Amino acid sequence: MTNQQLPYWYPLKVIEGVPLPQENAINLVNELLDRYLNKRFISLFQEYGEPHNIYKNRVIKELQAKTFLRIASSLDPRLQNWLIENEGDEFSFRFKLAPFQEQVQVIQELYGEENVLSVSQFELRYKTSLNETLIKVYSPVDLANYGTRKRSRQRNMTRKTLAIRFQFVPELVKERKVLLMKGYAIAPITLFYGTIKKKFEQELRVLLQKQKERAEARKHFYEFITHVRDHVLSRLGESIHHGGPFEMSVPGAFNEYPLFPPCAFDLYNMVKETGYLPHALRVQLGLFLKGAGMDVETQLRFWYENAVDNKGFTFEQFLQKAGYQIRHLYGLVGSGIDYTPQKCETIVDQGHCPFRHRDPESLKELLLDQIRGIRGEKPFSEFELKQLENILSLAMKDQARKACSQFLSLITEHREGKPMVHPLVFLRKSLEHAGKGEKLMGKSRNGENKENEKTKKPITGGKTRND
Amino acid sequence: MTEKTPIKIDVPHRTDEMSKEELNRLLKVFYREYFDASPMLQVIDKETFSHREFGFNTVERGFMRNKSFKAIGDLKEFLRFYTFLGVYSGGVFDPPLSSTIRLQDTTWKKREVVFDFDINEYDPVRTCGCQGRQVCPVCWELITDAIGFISDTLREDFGQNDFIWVFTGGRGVHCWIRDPDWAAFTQSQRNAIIGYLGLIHDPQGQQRVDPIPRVTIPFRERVYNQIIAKFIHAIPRQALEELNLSKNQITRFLKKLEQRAPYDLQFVVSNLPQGIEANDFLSVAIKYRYPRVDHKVTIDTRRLLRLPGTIHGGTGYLSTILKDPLGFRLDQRIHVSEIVK
Repeated sequence: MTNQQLPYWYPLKVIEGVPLPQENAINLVNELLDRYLNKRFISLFQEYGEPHNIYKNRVIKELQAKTFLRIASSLDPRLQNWLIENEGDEFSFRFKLAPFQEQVQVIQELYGEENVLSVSQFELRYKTSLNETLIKVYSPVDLANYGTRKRSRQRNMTRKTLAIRFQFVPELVKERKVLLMKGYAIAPITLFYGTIKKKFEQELRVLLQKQKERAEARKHFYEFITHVRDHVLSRLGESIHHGGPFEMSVPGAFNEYPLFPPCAFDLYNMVKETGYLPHALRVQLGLFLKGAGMDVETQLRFWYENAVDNKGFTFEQFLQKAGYQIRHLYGLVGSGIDYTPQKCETIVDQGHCPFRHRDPESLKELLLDQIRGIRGEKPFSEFELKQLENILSLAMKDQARKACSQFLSLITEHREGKPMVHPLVFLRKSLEHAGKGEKLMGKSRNGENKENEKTKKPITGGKTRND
Repeated sequence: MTEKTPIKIDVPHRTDEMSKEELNRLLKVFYREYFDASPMLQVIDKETFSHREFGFNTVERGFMRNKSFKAIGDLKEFLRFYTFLGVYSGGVFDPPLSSTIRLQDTTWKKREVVFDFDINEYDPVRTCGCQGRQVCPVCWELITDAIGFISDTLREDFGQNDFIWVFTGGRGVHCWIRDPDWAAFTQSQRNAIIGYLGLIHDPQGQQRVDPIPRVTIPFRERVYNQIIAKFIHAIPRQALEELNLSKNQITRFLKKLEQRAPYDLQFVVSNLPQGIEANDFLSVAIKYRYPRVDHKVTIDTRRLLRLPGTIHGGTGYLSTILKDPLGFRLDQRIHVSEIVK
């Protein structure tokens, strides 16, 4: 697969010799900003009857705008995150609409041609037939996508199915959401959408870093692009801050873990049980715990004692490695940004939301566990069981935030109408219901409270963790 | 007979009969005169030997790690100094670890993916009476079943054929994946493998069993054909008691199976006592027979693991590569007293 073979709508396609007219940079960037701010994504497919030279001009214009915006964004971490999120959304929009062959080209570009096979390639290599297995395995999930007529479903089933090496789709493998054979995760391409989007965003992040280094090496260009960055920042203003305002933090609440929203409860359990979370989910949980009033020292100690990869390290050694990342969340090092906990929309899309990412059985177990954690072994009424069924049904219909809100209703016995917007909103309301909200929120925000003092341990080095 | 009567077979734990001083003497002689590095080199590669972290548990200086050696000869020379209760390998680092280059000064490069199966993980479900350090031929079957199931899953689901099973010298086995691509796996990738394999959560506590989604049909069929098929032909009373069956119900059920033998899973499920759901029965079967892998060992990219060809200081047994993993029996263990003349 050469870059030349990639479709023009692919945002990371390299087109040689594209000029970057600095005099037009602000105009180009403004058009792009208008689109992103209004979430008006365009496919950039060649329209029917559109001459190729006109189409190519459109492509080049977009590339110019994106290049300026990318380089400018690379100079500011908040801008960078905002841009990656928006480019990721636009990429996802285009990818889902693109013809299957072009989707395959892009996936092969992202993962390496040797790591992606069509069904026929897989069957040839391993001398097996997949059709029957695929129909057995995926038929109920894909009825909505491939039509209800059995014959058309069967014909379509393998046409839009891919085999990707399992190590590139770890989340899908871990959750057993894909058929795994001979080291390949085999599934309809729709199941890979989220993973592919994340991979695209990773590649974009790498590109931004390279562009930043190149820009910094060219003094005059750097001065110019700084000016573009400042212009973008002034246009975006508050839009680039994620999560709710910091005054949503609930000091001292990090001890009340059964009252956590299910996303944080699930992640907290995973750390306690397995000692491991992928990086993005550590950030999700870390920011939540910060919002729940956990100060940086307590959080450092939490990760040191619970994460499996700290074995063999003294606490001092840990502080220099992973400890840096945790202090970064609090704005104490690096960019100095005081990050806020992620909102539900971000978590559902890119993080871990059990209502979105767990299968029905394991979701049910999780919710039951959490309820037992709150109220003990008190039996469920019929009404409560029905509520739980409704919650699971909402989750299966991809209404994760609504399901979460209903779960809050279940545990607080108070009707919640709107879909959940933020994990700290959930926490605040569950604490209030449990009668703990006022007690905790009466304390100061800066860790000067008895709960925090109890859990604060002095930072000492020397002793290595070897459990 | 459907239910196996637990038979406690007395497999002598020779280190219990031996004084600590005598064992330490044997260990010292072993590493001075009998140690052979070739088994170790079947699981860790020679090319990156000088960048490998080693760890040691010694009588004289306790536990040490973050050590590296330029060549195998240097390691052998080091093994002459102390009385070693354990010799372990960790990850590969660049630059190699030393007294001046610590973990935070270097970059991790790779570490073999290893699966660890210890018999004490099965304590909640061992019906032979063994607990903790104890092991007998009856409960060792659980390890053998794990070897069979995991080997098939690695080959069929993960497309992985390059692995070796090692008896640790203690209470279980390690499966070392020798594929260099796998050695570079991140924690996320290792977690994916363990997440896929792990069906029992909180193994020492609640022991919650995952449902197996229909999408993983080959995996599910393997669970039925290997794990559950074994269970139904030796159903322990303890397992049926977990389903809240009365003594009479259990006796009647087992008798029915005995009279029908041979039988299949369908027969068992369609003759379950009233009130018992098929899924509950299958969950119990998985709890009692499914492989219990220590996920932390697999996920931890810097884990120190005992090397084959070394002696387990707690038992005195040699950690050996299993040429016939499914045929390995406890009486094939080699004690250091048999090696050192």
